Amino acid sequence: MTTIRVDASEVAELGVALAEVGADLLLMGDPAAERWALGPGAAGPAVEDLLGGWRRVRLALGRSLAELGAAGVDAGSLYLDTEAGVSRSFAGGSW
Amino acid sequence: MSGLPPLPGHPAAVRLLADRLSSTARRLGALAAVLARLRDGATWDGPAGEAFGHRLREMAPVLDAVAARLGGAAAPLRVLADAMEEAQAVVTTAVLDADEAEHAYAVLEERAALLVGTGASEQSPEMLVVRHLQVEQVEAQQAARARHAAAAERFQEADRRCAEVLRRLAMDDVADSLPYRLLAGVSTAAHDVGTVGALAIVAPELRPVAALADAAAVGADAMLLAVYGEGDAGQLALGAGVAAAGVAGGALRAGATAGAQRTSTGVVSTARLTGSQRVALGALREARARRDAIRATFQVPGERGTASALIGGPTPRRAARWATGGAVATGSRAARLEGGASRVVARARALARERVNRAFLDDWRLATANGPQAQRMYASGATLEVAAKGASKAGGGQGEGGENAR
Repeated sequence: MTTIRVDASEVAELGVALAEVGADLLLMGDPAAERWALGPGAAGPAVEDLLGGWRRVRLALGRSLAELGAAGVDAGSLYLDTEAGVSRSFAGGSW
Repeated sequence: MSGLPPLPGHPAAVRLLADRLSSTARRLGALAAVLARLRDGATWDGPAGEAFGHRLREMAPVLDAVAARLGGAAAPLRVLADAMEEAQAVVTTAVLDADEAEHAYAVLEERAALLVGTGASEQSPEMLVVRHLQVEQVEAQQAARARHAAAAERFQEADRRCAEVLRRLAMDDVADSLPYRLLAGVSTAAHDVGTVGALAIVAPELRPVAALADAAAVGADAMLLAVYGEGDAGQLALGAGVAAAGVAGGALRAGATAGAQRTSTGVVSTARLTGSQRVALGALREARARRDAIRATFQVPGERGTASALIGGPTPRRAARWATGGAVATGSRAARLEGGASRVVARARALARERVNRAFLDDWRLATANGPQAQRMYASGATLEVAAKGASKAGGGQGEGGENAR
């Protein structure tokens, strides 16, 4: 038998948190912009490489987190709607 | 002047970067706590919760690697910022001292020339004093140069050590391969050059440059899409592609208007965002709005609650409408009430429609400021929303709402 125990609002909050991290990753700016602060030494290019040299994983991870976040918000909303509908049907109302 | 160069760099900005990297690493690390809660079943215990947790767990090693990459850079950057600040203070003083010494030497040389003009010889007491003072200034200048060189060397050493650590951090499992870097580099550079197309109205000679750059960008993007499954074409076909990616119409509309702001003189675009970034921002806005709606649902006052709410369950969104449905009176009073209610509903609908139209035009202006791509995205989002509402009505769902009004 399937047992479901869920905090709908917390699931939605979790979804937003994941979507926020995902969006942060997708929106990371141009790493060259950070270089000027380090002067003309070797650290500048190294920082640029460190921040910009994982674009492929960054975009994939950002997309996955954003999708999972949206799914979390969807699920939270659905659990809430279901609970509300079931509550109403027991009270004599309709969905 | 002495010709000694200042030491470039901005320690405060380096510390800010280090703080930002730490904060991002912390946020990624915090997702581990989320995983733990899911594992305990405290938040979501059930088959869907397990599937959700499974997907999140698959990402855990990548999240750890990214947190290590970004978080690991914070400490060496802070050390570098300290070294830069110390070296810059020494260099600035050294440059000033050397300049002053050079100026003083030149003034003394003028005095020596005057003395020679008045018939004084190199052995005269006055001339010996001037020459002695000049030697002092030369020594002061040499000392300043030595301090400058030592500070610059200390900084170079700190810079070298920092770069070494950063380079080691960058050689991890999430680093891009060389072919990918080349393709992504071509795409970015070509997109940047392609933006000169906007200047072609005033400088027609730029038109071929923009056209070539656009072609290169399209080629590189197509390769990124074909080889690595990445790119706007997959996400932003703005039609079937968008629907396949599961992007909601509202998210597209929100993304299309992102980065543009209303000012007293009209609407301006303040950020250059790619299509993917617009989609991400739009989806995030949508998620936040829905989360806020859920929060609001749980904050409904007690008197509007239902049996479910009374025993600790959530308060249904349409509880108020359902409750009043059962309270309709009988007879002519009921008819009067119903007539009045119909007029109120009709007026409310007209007002809502006006608000929706106004909001649409307002958002359309924002999307227009962001360029043609944002316009297409907005139009697609609006179309998807209308289609979704139509489908919902056909399936016996809810009537039209006022979600568009903000």
